[in-house]
Parts: sequence; structure tokens; C-alpha cells
Amino acid sequence: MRRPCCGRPRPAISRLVAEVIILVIVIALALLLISPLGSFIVSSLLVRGTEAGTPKTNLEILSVALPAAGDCYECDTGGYCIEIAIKNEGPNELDLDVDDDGYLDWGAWILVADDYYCGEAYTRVSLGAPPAVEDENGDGILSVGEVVYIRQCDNYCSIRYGWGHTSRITLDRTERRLIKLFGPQGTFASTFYVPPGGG
Amino acid sequence: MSRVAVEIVVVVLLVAILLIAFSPMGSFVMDQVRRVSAAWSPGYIQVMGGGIADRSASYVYFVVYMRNIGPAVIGDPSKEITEVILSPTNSETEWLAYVNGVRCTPYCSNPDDPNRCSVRQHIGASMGLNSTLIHELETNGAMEVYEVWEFGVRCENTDALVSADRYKIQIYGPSGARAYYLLEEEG
Repeated sequence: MRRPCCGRPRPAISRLVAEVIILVIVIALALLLISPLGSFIVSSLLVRGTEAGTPKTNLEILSVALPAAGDCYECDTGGYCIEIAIKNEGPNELDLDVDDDGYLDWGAWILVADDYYCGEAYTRVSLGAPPAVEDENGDGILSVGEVVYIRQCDNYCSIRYGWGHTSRITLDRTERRLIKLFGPQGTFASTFYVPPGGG
Repeated sequence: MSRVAVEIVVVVLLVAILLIAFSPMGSFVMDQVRRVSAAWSPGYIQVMGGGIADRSASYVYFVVYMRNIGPAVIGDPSKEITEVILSPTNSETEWLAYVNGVRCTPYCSNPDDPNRCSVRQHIGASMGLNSTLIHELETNGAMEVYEVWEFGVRCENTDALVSADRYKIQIYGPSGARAYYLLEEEG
């Protein structure tokens, strides 16, 4: 005898559909774990702003020179100016003049000597000698392997607490100094200035 | 594939998802999500150096040079610096520092004169006559991208500072902004 009917049969997905769904989930998980999309999501989760916080490329200071006043082109200085040659070791290029105003981007290059603040380099981005800043291609882009010359018109550096309590050093050719240079997009390089004769 | 196999796969997937959700890895992921969505600093502060500007019997005056390398502004540009750090008339500060555990503060000596504050904000420069570089400072309460601060704090001259030759400087700003610097004095 047949069992009385209890209404419409319960709807169910077929085995084929279930298998397809599982397959899609597995592929999605795999993609999430190993694909560039996954690494993008993970890196976004880890540190927002990493792009700003992590140096974009590696810089190396090739030389630090203290030219005398007469050789400090475009600098009105009574003593020495500071000229630093920096090479971009890669892996990425650096834009020296994002706003294309013909000058280094403000705040992009900061010089610190022996933990004294020497200030910001704000000079012309141009090609040919003797510019304040020269760039081999003159295009405002520091390509990988290219060298740029950053010139600081002052040669004194200070630790200044607001309006008073100032301690100051003067960079001259007599003392060895630890030079720290901070560049655009979190880049950094350091070296020692060694005066003629070893100091 | 048999139904049993399909059910086993479903169970395995569910267990995997549950493990991700409730395991240490899951809580790590959730922590990061919370940090992003809640109090994550709008800008990354790069500390470039620092030193002691002066000492007196009562105070040690530390200065740290730092800049905001983005991606966004830290603090409220519509406020004055005198509104966001301590002064004789303002007892609330958005910026705090600790040096070797001692609480230190940036300070404005005159609440009506933002130029009499221990924070100097470099925003730009221009070329004057004979290519003289003219530095421009501002006095608002925000740290814009690429703005450089000479961030001065005064600390009470306690034992933790008198006898030290290494100073662990911790700086905390608005919206979770923070910076650290280890200062070592030459012997």
C-alpha cells in the first residue's frame, strides 16, 4: 500500500551542482592564498600605508663635499655649502619633482649631521654644470643607476627647541661627521664625511 | 563522485573555515582588520634624528626631527598648534612623548602666540635675492604630508634622565600616529 503523500517533495540540489559549488569554493580559496590578489589583500591588511612607510628604492651616498663659498653655485653662503652625490641603486626610479615646478619637492630631501638638523634641500632640478641639482637626463626622474647631486646652501645644523634652547654645529673641513640623508618616499642613506687628511 | 565523498569534502571545507575564523591566525586577521578600520594612523611618521637642545636643573629639552611621509594628513589643519599641545591655558594635548618612561610634553609658553611653541613646522621655502633660501614655517595643528617637524618636548629632570646616556623616545599623536627614536649620547 502506498504511503499517503505528505505534500510536495523537498527541493534539493543535485550532486552535480554540489560538486560544482565545492569546486568553485576550492578554486576561490586557492586563488586567495596564492594569487597576487591574495597577497594584495594580505598586505593591505597588514599595514595600510606601507607604500609610504617602506622605502621605494635604495640610495647610496657616493660622496659628501664641502665646496668653498665661491664654488657654491646658486648658494649665498658665507662659508661652505654641502654637496652630496647620491646614486639610485634600484629597484625603482624616483620622481624628484612630482609637481613639475622645476624644484626638488619640498620636504623630500632632509639632511641630518651628527644628529643635528641641517634642513631641507630645495633647489633647482636641472641638467648641466653647474646646476644646484643635476640629473643625468634632466627629466626630473632619478632612474635606477643614475646619480643626482643634492646641494644644501647652509653649512650649519642645529638642535632647536622652539624659540630657544638651541645647540648648533657647523660643518667645515676639520671634523668627521655622520651624515644621514632622507629622500622621497621613505628612502634613506648614510655615510661619514671625512675631512681632507682623514680628520 | 559519490554522495559520501561530497559530504566529506563539505565537512572538510567547513572545518577549515572554522579554523581560520577561530584559530590564532583568524584572530590575527581580525586584529588587522580592526586596526585598519579603527585607529590606524592616516600618515606614517619617519623619525630622522634628534638630540638634547638644553638641560636645566628642572628640565631636559629634547628635540626629534620627523616628517609625515603619507599617505594623509595627521591632525586637524583647522586648529592652531596652541590648541593641540599644552600651554598655560590649554590642559589637553593631542601629542605626547615619553623618554625613558618619563612623560614629556610639547609646550607653548604663550597661548596667544603660536610662534612661541616647542614645535617648529617647516612647510616650504622660496628663493630670495641672490638665491638665498627663505624657510617658511606654519603654526597649524596638523602635520601635512612631507611636512617636517622639529618636535621639541621638555621632560622633568628625573633620575631616569639624569643618569642615562641612552634615551628611548616614544611619540604619540592623534589618530594613532606614533614614532620612536633611540637617542644615544656620545661618551
